[in-house]
Amino acid sequence: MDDEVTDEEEVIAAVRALEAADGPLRSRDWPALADARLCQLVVHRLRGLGRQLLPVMDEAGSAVAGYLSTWSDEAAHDIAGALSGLQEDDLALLTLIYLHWEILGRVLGENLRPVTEQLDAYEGSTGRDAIQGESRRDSLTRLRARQLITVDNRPGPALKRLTPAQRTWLDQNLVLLLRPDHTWAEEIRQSRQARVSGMEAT
Amino acid sequence: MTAQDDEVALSLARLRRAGWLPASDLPFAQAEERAAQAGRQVIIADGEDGAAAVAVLTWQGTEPAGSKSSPWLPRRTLPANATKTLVVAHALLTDPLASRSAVTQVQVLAVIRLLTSRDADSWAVPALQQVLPQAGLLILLDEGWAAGPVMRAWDPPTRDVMRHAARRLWEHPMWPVTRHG
Repeated sequence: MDDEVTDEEEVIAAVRALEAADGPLRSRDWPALADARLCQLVVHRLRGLGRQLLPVMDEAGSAVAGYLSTWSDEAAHDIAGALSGLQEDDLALLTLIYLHWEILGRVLGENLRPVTEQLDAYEGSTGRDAIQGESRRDSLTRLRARQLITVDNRPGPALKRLTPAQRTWLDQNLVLLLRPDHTWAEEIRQSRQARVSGMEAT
Repeated sequence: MTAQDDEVALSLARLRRAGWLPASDLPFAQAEERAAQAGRQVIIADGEDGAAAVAVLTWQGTEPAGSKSSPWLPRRTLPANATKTLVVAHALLTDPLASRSAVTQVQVLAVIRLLTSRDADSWAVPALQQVLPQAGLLILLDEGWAAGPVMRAWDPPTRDVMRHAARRLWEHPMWPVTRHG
């Protein structure tokens, strides 16, 4: 009986810590994350809140280095359209920063200019500078406050909380943005439409 | 998990995301039970100026504290300037002789200038407009900044610490004597 009480306390302590933590928790610090049975209970409790447990791999990608909690995939879809206090310019800047570091830098391995130079050089569809001066400063502040970017304008820790399904969704959005006429983009649109139709039918 | 369970989970996710929801938008009994199983708590707070009651997601007992020793728990803290701005805004909102439900940016900046003899526009304005609302500590109403859902759901130890800080400001010789707003 005492063990059960202890287990319950360990599970709740781990869930609370996950929900409060700003970075990955190590299983050696939180017994419920190290025990397979208790870890399943943690998963279940998080699911009840619209959240899920996200293992964080080490740099080699071979072992779990820690755990975060994040939105469940269902909740992520549900709240994606909710007002977040971010404005259109903020999202445009975030997209440019993500493209700069993740796609040009990490995926394509290009030699990158500082991101601020890249933003200065960016011209909107009208040929005019898109987001400059105070407007840009305010946008960057809003993105930093949400941990979407770091103080040096790199993708922030909030993006590390994406589940595989959420990262796939983001990658697909980039295809839709950059290659809207590609057959792959058409396939993405069709699969999303089918998903929406399926949800409406149930 | 049943469809009803899913709906409760989504309601709690919306509550966490928004900071607060109209109490009527939440299946309260189920949400309260689900939150309790995770060491959290859903409380109902009165709306501002007679508005409908709101639900706020908070913690059972005290909020988990960050720790740099085992068990290691990394937590983001408010930047120092945002904390200073929060202390001043909270002291203005809770000043027993003023009975304010909201404070303006001008009032907060003026008090900081009185207390420190320095302009605070460069750091207090971003704290008021970005950091504190994002943290759910303040909320912008027509008449100014009011206590946000997180401030209204502070646990007793946090409330005591902030009340102590406010009391020290009220006793400061430069604390504004203008009353009732």
